[in-house]
Amino acid sequence: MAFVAELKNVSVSIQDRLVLDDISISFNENQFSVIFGPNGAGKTTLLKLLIGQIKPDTGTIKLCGGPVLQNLSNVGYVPQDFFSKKQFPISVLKTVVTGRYARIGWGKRVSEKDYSIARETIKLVGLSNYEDRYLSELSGGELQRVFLARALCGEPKVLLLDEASSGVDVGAKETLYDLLYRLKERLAIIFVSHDMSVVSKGVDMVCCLDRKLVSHGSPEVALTDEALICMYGHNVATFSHCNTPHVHVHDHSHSHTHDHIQNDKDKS
Amino acid sequence: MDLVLSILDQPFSQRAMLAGAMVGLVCSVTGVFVVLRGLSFISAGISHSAFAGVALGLLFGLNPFFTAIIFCSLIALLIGKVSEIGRIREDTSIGIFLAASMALGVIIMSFVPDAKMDVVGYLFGSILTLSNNDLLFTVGIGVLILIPIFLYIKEFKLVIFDEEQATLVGIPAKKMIYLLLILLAITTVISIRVVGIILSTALIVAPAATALQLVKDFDRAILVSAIIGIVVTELGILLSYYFDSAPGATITMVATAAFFSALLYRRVIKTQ
Repeated sequence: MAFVAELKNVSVSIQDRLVLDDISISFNENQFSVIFGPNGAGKTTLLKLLIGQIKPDTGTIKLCGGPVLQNLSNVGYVPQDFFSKKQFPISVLKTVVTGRYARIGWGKRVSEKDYSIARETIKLVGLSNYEDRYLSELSGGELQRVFLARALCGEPKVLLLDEASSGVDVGAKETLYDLLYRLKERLAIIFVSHDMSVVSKGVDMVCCLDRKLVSHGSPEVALTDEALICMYGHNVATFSHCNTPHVHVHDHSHSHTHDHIQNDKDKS
Repeated sequence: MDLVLSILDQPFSQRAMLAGAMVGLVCSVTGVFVVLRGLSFISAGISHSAFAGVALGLLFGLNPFFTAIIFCSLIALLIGKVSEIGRIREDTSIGIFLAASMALGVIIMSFVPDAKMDVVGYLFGSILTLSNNDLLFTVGIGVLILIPIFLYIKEFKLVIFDEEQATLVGIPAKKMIYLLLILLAITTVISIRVVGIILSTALIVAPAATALQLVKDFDRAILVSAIIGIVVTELGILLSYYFDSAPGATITMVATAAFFSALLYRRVIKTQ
């Protein structure tokens, strides 16, 4: 299985603060990988390295076997702050087709073939009747799928999602996770998330990050009590319930939150 | 109608109408990018810096519009750079340059003999005194601004919509923003003869803001803004002739009235 992205001994400092420290990890094709970590763990920085927006201080990064900047056309990216684009006067179809601009080329007009591919991608994410709607008319979940369609429209080999499930309701999250599960047959997915319930959706690799690489591997291997405590501190514990691992976060005000971690087989 | 025909019969008003149409078109098209990218204040900063550029031209006996184009472009780039390296917000950087370049302009003007005669024209416009050369200059520069905008409209649109995505698909987003600022600086300078340094921001911002009240699509907004820009400029010139008022100020008031009419229209449509 070939690597779609490979980081070797990568360190990054931003404004004199070490954000990533000696990270070495690789992501395979047709693999659904999730990156977990607390706020400030360097998750977004890792994605920005893969889209060439941040350069590493030390170490090397390869994307689809070559330098990052020469392979950006192989990347689809779903940003964290897609809500901020909502007020721009643009339709769903015209937003999605911007994902093909690298293939269309400078100064060239968008062809009917490009629009046709954009329509197919809109259909794939379940927004068939939305292509003429404007972003301002969409809900958070619909907006999220528009930006996913845009990322897919450029026919990438690797799909990067930066906390794309935050700020949307449970139903929209479930739709997204089911879609990602289906998509991993066509490309590699690297998904930065706070939501541990995604692990139940056919995730192949989990990467636990807290500036350093805490653990990585299959969910069973990477999501250990030690890794979770290392990332979130001593107020985190895991327990099993109905054959489903749970993450239990106990904060100082004595409130409780739970994230469910189901095994892949539970899904089927 | 007789009044319109009598105005159009005179060479100076023909030149004013033609230059007004070109400036209205260029300002309103550039304005859509300015409004959507949130560059309205930078536009004000650039237009005020034109005063120092004009003053330099008058001091050294050069064409004040050429010196203003160079000076404004430099200020536009400096505003961006100072914000970047000084780790300050862009509006702070604009505030510094806006005041400093106005002050520099006033100081330089004090060394220019008979400058007072020109100052009012540059500050508030003097469209009725355009020569044939001024008209050619305005139309030529206007075309030069519109060519890159329409040639790379797809790229400019993505840069102002989503800079991160633009970079990802191979568009040099930062350079495109700087190019947009330079085009904005040149737009500002050619609008000086029509509405003047003080009021040029209105001609850039108001038609675009009006169009964005009326349509939801970027491409249509460009077209509607262009029509509004040309109409308000021409109507302003005609009204200023009829009421014997200052053309620049009249154009600005017509543009503002168009904006509030669109705002009201949108509210009425929404409540129905």
